[in-house]
Amino acid sequence: MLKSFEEVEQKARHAGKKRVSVLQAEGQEFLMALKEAYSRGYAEPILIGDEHAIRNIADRIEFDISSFQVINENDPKKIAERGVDLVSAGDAHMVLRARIDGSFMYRAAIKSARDTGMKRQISAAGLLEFPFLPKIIGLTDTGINVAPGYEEKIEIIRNAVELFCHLGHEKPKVGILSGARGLNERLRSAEDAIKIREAILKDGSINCSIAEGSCLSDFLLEKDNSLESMEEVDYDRIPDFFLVHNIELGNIFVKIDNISKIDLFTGFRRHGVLLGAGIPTVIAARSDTHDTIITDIALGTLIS
Amino acid sequence: MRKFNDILENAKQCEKKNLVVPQPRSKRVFTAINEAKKAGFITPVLVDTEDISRENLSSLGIDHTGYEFVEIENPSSALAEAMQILHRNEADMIFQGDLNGKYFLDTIAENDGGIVQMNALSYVSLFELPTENKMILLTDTFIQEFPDLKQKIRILTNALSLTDILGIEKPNVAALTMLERVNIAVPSTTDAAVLAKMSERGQFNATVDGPLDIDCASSPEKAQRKGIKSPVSGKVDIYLLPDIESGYCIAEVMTYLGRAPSAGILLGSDIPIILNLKFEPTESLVLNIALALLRTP
Repeated sequence: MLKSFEEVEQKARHAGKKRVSVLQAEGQEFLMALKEAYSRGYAEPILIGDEHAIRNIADRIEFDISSFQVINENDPKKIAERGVDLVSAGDAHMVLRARIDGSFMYRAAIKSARDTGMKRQISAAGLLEFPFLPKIIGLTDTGINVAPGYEEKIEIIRNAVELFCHLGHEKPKVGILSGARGLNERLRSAEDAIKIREAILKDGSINCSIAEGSCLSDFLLEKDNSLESMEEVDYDRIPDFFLVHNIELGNIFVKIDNISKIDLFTGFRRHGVLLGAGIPTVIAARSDTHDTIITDIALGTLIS
Repeated sequence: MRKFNDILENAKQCEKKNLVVPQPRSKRVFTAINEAKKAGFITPVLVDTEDISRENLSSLGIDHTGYEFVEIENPSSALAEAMQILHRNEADMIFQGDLNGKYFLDTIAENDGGIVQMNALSYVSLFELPTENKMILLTDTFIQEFPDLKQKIRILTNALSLTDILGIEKPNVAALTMLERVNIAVPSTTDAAVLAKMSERGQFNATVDGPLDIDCASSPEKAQRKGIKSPVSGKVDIYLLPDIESGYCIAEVMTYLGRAPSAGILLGSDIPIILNLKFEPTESLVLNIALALLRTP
C-alpha cells in the first residue's frame, strides 16, 4: 500500500535504473525532469521527437544527452508506434507520454497489444493523493472507454487490480460508483455493479474485493447513516480504487482539484497510467511541471 | 450573496414561514428544524401521532414552544396529510424529514394530488469557496438522470433562477464534459455546444460555454494551452454536469474529498421543497431551509 507519492519517489531510487521511451520529448519541463531522474539513478531516457528541438532544449538546460539514444521523428503516429515498439521489443522498460497527443499513444498501445496477441481491454487510471487520506487511491477509467459495458468494466477492474497488486496491495478493494442514490436501483451503473460483483466472485481470476455500497457516503459512513458532520467520516474505510460508469465522470473526478486549488484541494497530487497493453506507460499531462513529471517517471519505474 | 452566512442573514430578513414536516424522527432532522426555528426562519408544523412528536422533542431537550402539531391516527398517512396542509395553504414549504427519498419524491409528484411535476425538477448543490469569496453551483446533482437537451435547458433555467435570488448577475456557466471539442459520438459535447450557441444568441441571462473539460473551465492558461479561449474560463459560477453519474458523484467528491461546506436546493416547484440528502451534513440542512425561504414569495 502506497501512502504518498513521496514514498513512490523513495522506492524508485531503489528500483534500479529503467530505460524510458519518451514520446515527443521536445519540452523543457520533460527534459528537466529526465535530467533529474537520470541523476537520481532511476531513469535513462530514449528521446523520440524533433531531434533538433530536443538538442537545443538539452543544451539550454545543460543536460548532457550525448550518451542517450535520440530518435528523430516528427510524425506523432510514428513516434507513438516507435516508442511502444521499443518496450515490446525489450529495448525499453516503460513509456513516458510527453508532448504527444494522447490519442496517438492509445492507438499505438492498442495496435501493439493486438500485434502481440494480447486480448486485453486498454484503460487509463488516475492515482490520487489527498493529504488527509491514509493512502493513494485510484480511479478508472479516466480517459479511454467512453461508456463501457459491464464486461468491459470487468476488464477495466482487472487492469487496475493488477496495477494495485504491483504497487504492493494484496487484495485491492474496489468501490463501484453509481448515481443510483437510493432512488433508482435500475440505473445501468447499479445493474452493472451487481453483474460485475457476481462475475468477479464466480470467475475468481481477479484478486480483489468489492466494497459494499455505491457512493462515497456508503463507503465512508456507517451503514445507512447520513453525514452528520465531517468529524464522523472514517477515511480509513475508503476503497483502494474506484470504478466509474463513464468517461465524463472519470475525467471530471480525476481533475477535480481544478475546481478550487486554493480552498479545497490543497496538497492534492495526481498521476496517470495506461493499463492493459502490457506496456508500462505513465501519462504526464502536457501542462505538468518538471517536479510532477519526475514523480510520473518514478511511478513508471515501479510498475515496469 | 457570496458566502453561506449571507444566505442566513438574508433569510432572517424574510417573513417567517410555516414548514410542514411529515413524521420527523431522527436527531438530525429535529436538530435542523429546531435550528431553523431558532433563527426565526420557520414555524415547524409537525405531522405525526402527537405523542411521538412531543416525546421526540422532549427526549432531545427541545422546548415545544413555537411548534405546531398536527395529529394523525395512522403514521403512514403523514405525507398525505402534509400535502393536504399545503393545498389548504396552511403551510408554505415542506421538508422531507426522515421519509424515504424515493417514497417522498414519488408521492409529491403523483398525478393525482401531487404538488410537483418530476420532469420540471432539478437539484443544485452549492459549495462555498471562502478565499475566492464566492459560491459555486453544481447541477443537476440529484434529480434528472440522463437529461436530454430539453431537460438540460430546464436544469440551467432552474439554476439561473437561483443565481438571480443570490444576486449573481449574468453568471458564468460551464457545460462540463470530458473534452473541450465537439465529438459527435459523445452527446454531452454536442448538448454543451448547443447551449453555448443559445447563450451567444442571448437566449439565457448568463454566459454559457461548452463543451469544456474541467481544465479549460477552471483556468484560462490551461484553456489556452489546449488551444481554446472561453469567456467563462477561470470564473465559473455554475457547473452544468452531463448526467447523474457525474452530478451525484462529484457533489459527494466535493463534500468528502474537498471537504467543502455545502448547501442544496430543489428547484422547479412552486412550493419550496427541502430534501434530506445523505451527503449533506446536518448543518447544511439549516442552510437549505434558509435557501428555500429565499425563494418563497
